[in-house]
Amino acid sequence: MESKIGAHCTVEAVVYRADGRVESLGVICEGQMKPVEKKTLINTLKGMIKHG
Amino acid sequence: MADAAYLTNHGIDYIVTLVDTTDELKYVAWGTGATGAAVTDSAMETAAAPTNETAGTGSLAKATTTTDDDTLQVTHTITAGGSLTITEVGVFNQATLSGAICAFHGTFTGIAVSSGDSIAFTLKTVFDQAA
Repeated sequence: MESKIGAHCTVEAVVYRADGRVESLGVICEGQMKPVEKKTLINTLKGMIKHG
Repeated sequence: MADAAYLTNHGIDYIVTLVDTTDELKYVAWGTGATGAAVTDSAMETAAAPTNETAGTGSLAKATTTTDDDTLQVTHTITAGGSLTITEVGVFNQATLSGAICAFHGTFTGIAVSSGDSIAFTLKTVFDQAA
């Protein structure tokens, strides 16, 4: 049995207008990463660090 | 006893801490592309000034959403130098976008900005056991 990991991603935004107005937009987009095997994620992260 | 195998909450904490410690996934760019984000994306569709070639340096931190340190959070504010409709934001492992790894890509309904307007982005990735 493989241990899996998933991830939920969100982007929140606040707009600061040049005239001083502030617009809090909250979450403007989100998505759920498909579950991947733990070792796959770790290897991916190690690769990003190695080649970063 | 039921058969079971999980990445524990501490395991998630470990992975989040590992990424946070590298302090690399903190470079943020915005753009004006028209195509929705996909897991296969490797770059911004249309990066826009002032981050069209060089991403801004944001702040990377770990946070807690459900279990201790289960969240990677990147924050950064970008200021427009002219009129744009911003539709995408991305996180990269280096400031120079050419050759950078796109680790996070979000697309959204356009936000119109004019010179001097800023958008403060908070990009969160919350890890779980993906039951």
